[in-house]
Amino acid sequence: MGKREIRWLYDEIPAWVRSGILNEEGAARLRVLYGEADKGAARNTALVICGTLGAVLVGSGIILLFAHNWEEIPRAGRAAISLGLLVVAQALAGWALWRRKQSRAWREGTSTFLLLAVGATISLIGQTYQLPGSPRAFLLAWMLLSVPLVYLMDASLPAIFFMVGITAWGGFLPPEGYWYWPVAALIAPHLWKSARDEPSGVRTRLLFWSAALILPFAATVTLSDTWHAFWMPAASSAFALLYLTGRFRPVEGEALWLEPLHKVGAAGVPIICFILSFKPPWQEAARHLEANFRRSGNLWFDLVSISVICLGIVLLSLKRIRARQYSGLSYGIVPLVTVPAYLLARGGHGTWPAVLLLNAYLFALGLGTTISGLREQNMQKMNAGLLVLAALIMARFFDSQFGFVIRGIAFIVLGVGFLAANVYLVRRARRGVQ
Amino acid sequence: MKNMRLLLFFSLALVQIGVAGSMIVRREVTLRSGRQFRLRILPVNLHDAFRDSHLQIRMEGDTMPFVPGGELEPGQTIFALISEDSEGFAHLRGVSGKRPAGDSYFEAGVVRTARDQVRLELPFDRYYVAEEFRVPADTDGRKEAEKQVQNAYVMIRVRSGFAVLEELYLEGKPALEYLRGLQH
Repeated sequence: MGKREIRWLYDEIPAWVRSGILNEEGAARLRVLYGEADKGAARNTALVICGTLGAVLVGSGIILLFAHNWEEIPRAGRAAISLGLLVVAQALAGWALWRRKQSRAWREGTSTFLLLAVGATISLIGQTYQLPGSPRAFLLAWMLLSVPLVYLMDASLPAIFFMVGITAWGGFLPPEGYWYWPVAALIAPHLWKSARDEPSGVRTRLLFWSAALILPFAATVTLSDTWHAFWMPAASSAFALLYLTGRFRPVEGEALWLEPLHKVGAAGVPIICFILSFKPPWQEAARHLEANFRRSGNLWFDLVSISVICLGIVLLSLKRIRARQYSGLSYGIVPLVTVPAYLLARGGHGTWPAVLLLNAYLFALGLGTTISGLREQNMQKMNAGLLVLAALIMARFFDSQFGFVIRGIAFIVLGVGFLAANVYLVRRARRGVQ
Repeated sequence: MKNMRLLLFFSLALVQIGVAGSMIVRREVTLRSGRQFRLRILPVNLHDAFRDSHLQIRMEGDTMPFVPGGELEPGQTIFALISEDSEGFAHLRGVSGKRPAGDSYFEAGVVRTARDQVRLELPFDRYYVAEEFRVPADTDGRKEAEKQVQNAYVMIRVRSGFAVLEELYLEGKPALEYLRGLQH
């Protein structure tokens, strides 16, 4: 059986186990019988990366060679070179589709090269004819001309480029940020197809890592900002939604693509809350209180955005409560902290209530994660909780008037706490093994 | 199925070439057959101007009263009306929300409006230049002043309201020729 079939088999096994066709023991035997499929996968990934990198380097080299004498080349020549670059990239991609359709490396490499060539061609024409700078129009034209490649070539690297490019375009949209979502949704079928066909494949995970990193960013840059600093509740809620959608170390039967969502959410919630535990962001929100509604924004869009995110959070939280999985809820409830804190700061109650709320929440989050890690004997989780606590305590010590001695003692106590908790877990684990 | 995919790819390639090609053709046609205008631009500080990969072009009178009776929104397309003086230089004499008759106008965007004034987004607001021609920063105040080019204008071509920058002139010379002269 070829590597491709083995990968297909391994992708199917979790579903068979779930539906009772195969038990865990049988699944393990099949894995032993057919060996590792990952070696092939790793080789393929390396091929894809090298192929893409090679194509990009060759393309960039050619552009640089021409750029060296760009001013000396007549206008018609420059226009011909710009178009020529596009035609060469199209010919390569077309050949790959015709003759190397089965090779993912060829498809990914040539389609990425073509996507970059489209952008380079538009830029070079822009320079040749002294076009006015309009990144918004340029990014949209570039991305719309390139996104069909994702489907025609079944290629995921152009999909990642599309997600990044279209989010950059989204940054120029406010107050009409609502246009972003239907355009960005053009990539959704590809994500869905990858998750369905290769739920634990490298490219699926790469796609979902990219989507998870981009989504909170997109949810904030497209806001109309009619209410100043609305990104604070929006970003924290987006991270919470990712956290609740994802899974930590998916168990057998669950796809690995869920993992990036969880990890980005798990890192994003404490990071954003840590930033919001300082005074300046809230001062920013309060300072612009009097300037509210002066911008020609679309407040309805901002409110709909956060309402949709919060609705998702509520539904996912209810699902967890019904399944008696309470561990992740502390991350999911972050909008219950950031939204009231934002409203308090906006309501002219000063910045202190918001700062206190965020500090209390972050402390509870760190403590809860640490205790949960200790209970589950999960060293990674426990250390993550301790890290949150340590960061919070250190930050408060640095922005307070405490002397060096007290700060020094506090750091020692924190360090000892870290070591003691880790030693405790290691000993418990050893006892468990014995 | 494979043939269908190839056919769709071929169609996409045609659209990509079509978009890029139409950008070129429209500008080439305008540069070859459009009406020529000379427009004075604001003095250019060479160091500041070339800080990015291009020189930012700002015109005298790119903020002007708009014709009353219509609300203007940022990003909206309007028409800048041009008239020529006795020296052969063109000036912006106003804006209109409707396409005027004749050929003494070009399409422009609205950057912002304040009271009864509108700031125009020119379709020729930058001039790209290679890194080797950029003028380095200098802390010497006198030299800085020398880098301020007072006599600067652009030559544009306009066809059916579509304007294309033909050349930038600094002290009466094409910009590249002037910049090359600075290097020697």
